[in-house]
Amino acid sequence: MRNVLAVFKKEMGSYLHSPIAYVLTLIFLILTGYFFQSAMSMLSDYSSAYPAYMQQYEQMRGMGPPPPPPNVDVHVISRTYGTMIIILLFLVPMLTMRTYAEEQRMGTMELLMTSPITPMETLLGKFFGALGIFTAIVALTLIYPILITVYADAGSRPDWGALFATYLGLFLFGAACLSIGIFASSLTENQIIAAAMSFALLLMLFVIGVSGQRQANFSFGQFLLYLSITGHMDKFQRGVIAVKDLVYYISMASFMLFVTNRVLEAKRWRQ
Amino acid sequence: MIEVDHLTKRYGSFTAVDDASFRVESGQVLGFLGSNGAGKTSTMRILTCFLPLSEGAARVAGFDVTTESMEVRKRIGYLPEHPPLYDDMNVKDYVDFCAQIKSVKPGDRASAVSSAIDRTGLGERRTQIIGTLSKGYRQRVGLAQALVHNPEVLVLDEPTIGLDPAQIKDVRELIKGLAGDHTVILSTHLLPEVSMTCQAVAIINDGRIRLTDTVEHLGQRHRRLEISVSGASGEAIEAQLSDLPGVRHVSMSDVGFTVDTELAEQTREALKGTAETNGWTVDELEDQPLTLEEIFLRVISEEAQVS
Repeated sequence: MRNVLAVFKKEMGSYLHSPIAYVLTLIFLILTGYFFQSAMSMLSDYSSAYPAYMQQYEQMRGMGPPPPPPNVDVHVISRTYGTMIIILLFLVPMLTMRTYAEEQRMGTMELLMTSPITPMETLLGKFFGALGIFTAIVALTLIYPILITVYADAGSRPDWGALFATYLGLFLFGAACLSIGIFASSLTENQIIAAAMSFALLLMLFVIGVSGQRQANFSFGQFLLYLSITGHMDKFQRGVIAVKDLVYYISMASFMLFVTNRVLEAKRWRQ
Repeated sequence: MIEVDHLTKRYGSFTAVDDASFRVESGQVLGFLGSNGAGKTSTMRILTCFLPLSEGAARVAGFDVTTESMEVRKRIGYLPEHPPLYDDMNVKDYVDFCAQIKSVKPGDRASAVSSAIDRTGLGERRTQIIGTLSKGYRQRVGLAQALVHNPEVLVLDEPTIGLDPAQIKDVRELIKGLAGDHTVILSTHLLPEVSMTCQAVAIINDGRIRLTDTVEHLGQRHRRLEISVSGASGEAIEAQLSDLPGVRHVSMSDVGFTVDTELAEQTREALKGTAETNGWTVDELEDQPLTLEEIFLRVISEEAQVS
């Protein structure tokens, strides 16, 4: 446990001392900020056009569904966090690419492997370090719903219950993605290859969800949707914390950590 | 303290260490000599539990490197060929991190860290970022890392490489100071280093241990005798001298013969006997220990002739 904490602190330090974390945070906030404000301006356009849509609907005497009323959760929150998940798929590989690749290139693996610390302790320290930075970066986006809550009228504030579920979902989603990124990093001593590999894996897990929605065979489609790493975020965003989704993210993260631990143990014997 | 027993290490079909056996007594400094690629680093990596061995056994501080690896790791300090440093940390944080993962008790950590930093002469650099340090200082940080948990056994892979002469002197002093309390293996291909800092020597070539002995013993046994012999023709004497036990090389010089031997005592005894039976008059003019360099080169070149 003490060893895990030592590695965790070292990892946090190296994130904070290198420019990587700051640059990534900046880019992430610019992108999400842009999507947030564009969703906000869409909402405001829609709100001002809504009476006209409603009038049109009444003139048609109830033909078709009525236009949905403007709603901050539907039009801003779900849109912003939906795109945020995609941006995170790009962010995670850049956070994790150096975890093991750097140690292997610099020869510091030799220090870790000859110290009385197990590969699992190192791995957990690194995993929680990456998760800590990830959480800190994602937590900065709380500014968006806070801004709405502060400036919106009483009736049109976002649903903080759903937001809580969304952030819990993002945390678990991050844990699963980071464990995949760390796995990729343990396979190589080249950071670029590590980043490319983990991005490819994450993209694949994202794409099977998209193809799951288009499957003619319903149960096969559901199966693909279940495997998809982004598919499990929908419910969280709607404010539902389902066991199925918790199990998916937690077991994905545990499985990838287990495999990574195996890779690290095998390293010793492969030389 | 360190017992290596018929140790073999193979990488695929290549045998890096072949049936090596040697031991280092507690408190001794062993110089591990060998040319590049002789198997020094492989042996050290096995002792420090970085690599698994293929055959044989090795015990460090009474623990087996394969089955009791964690116990060995607690008791061993290792400076690899390239010091394993994190360039973005400062010296003190790095040594502190090493102390933590090497199971130094939290209460003793601060004093262990500052003592390791002081012993390696890094006092003024303790807050400097490692990435900005020069080669010599990086080497010292590597040493501080190996020393921080006050290990019983130290394994140093070419500790003085890349240092300037003043730093080399400091590091040698430091290693000498470690003898007694610590058991040290240091690999090098600088021969004077061994004579200056070590009590024992192991010479390894092509993965095989060619010679293990104490430095003192080596000096007594491996000697160059300058003798003048009269009573027979030069060639006849040379041939007979070559047959004496322990003699490795005989050459004629202006004043007589130069005899290199690795068993000085026996050679002298036998020489006396031969002189009596042949009626020679033998005068010993000079008796010098062979330098380590000469011994090393002989051991290695004999190897080349055999194979």
